[in-house]
Amino acid sequence: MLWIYFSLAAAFAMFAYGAYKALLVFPPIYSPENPVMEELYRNVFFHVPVNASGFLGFTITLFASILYLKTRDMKYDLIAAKSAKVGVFFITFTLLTGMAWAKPAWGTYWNWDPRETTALIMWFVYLGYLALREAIAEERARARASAILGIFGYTSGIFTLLSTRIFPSLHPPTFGLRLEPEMGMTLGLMITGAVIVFLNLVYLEMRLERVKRGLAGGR
Amino acid sequence: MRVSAVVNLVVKDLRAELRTKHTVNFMLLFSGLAVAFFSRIAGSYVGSVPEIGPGLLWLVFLFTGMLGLGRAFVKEKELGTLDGLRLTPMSSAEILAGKAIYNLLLMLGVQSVIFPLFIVFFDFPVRGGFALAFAVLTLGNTCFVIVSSALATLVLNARARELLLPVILLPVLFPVIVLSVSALNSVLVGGEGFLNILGEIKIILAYAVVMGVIAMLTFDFALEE
Repeated sequence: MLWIYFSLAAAFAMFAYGAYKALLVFPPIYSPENPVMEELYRNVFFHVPVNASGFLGFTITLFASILYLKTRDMKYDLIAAKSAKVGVFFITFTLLTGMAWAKPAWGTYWNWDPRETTALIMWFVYLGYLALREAIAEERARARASAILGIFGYTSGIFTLLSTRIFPSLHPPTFGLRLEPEMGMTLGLMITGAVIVFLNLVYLEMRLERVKRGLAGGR
Repeated sequence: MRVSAVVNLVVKDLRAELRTKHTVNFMLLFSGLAVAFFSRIAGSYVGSVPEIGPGLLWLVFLFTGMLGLGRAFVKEKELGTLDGLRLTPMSSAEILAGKAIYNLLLMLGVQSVIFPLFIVFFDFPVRGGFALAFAVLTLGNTCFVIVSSALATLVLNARARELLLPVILLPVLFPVIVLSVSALNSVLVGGEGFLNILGEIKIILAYAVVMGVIAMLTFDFALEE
């Protein structure tokens, strides 16, 4: 348990330092044709890390689903379920920070930009995944069905990654963001922090599930 | 994959369906009702903004399909014949292909009645080729039946499966529907030719292929008890 405290403390420090740099230290980016953007770019430091963690979650769900179908080890089912759950949680924040960006930058909170559209759909896919898990009582049947949906559902993730390349979009392409080195470093730090928080949440969720099962008299 | 096995399954399902015609009658009735409703509610606006038309048409197909297509497997489950289907010397890919083709035939039946009905009811100004629009719809529906046939098996053991299926199906289908609506708009409203909607068609095709491959790969597991 001890390393959870350490890693969470480290993540908190990274996030706090990153937020301090992003909000207070970095100068406004000079852009006379769009003065709103001068301060608004700071949103990137929060939007990208939660998004990266959410995507990581769905990717873990994909691989854990494949591994479950190959090995039939319920451990992988648990990993898939919990990382999808925490992933949805993080993507919710991606959508919210994205909307906070969209209002001043593009005029409306929601304007069906391809990236917004595909990210929202991905969010719904994984909510559907969680709903499917809720609806099947038998353990093995649930694991099997949700593993298959976990594989199908990831196509929406791929669509989201590629959306800015397939369709004309206002959103910068994935991995296409260009920042000054120091800003890039800060962003990297915040992504690392978010990922650590994400992994810890998944781990705690899994522990919680095991404890619940123990109390219920299961394994 | 043996074609004869797939054909046999399709023929068996069609025979069982034509005996009672429950599903197909229900789908036709429902989609006809939906078109009538939409026409009454939004019909007068379609004249000035024809771009709503294809979206409404797809909504009709979507509702009809989600209510009707899940039946292909749910029926087997309810009648207890799913075990029999598993016991046949057919591979799961063949079963999936058979079910998907059967579902496609159902959807094509609905489509060939509803699409003309839609144009009549809405007095829809068809500027492009009717056949091309029909082909675009067919392509979209093909993708639809592949995904819905594969995902329908996932909810077989679930509570409230009729509610659950749309929830997991709709988001997975979303890209296809949006692209199909946009292609349909280009053809029907914009009067565009085949080459101008090639981009959409390519993505829908690619999506159908990807979905088909995932479905084939995972269907073994989906049919397990």
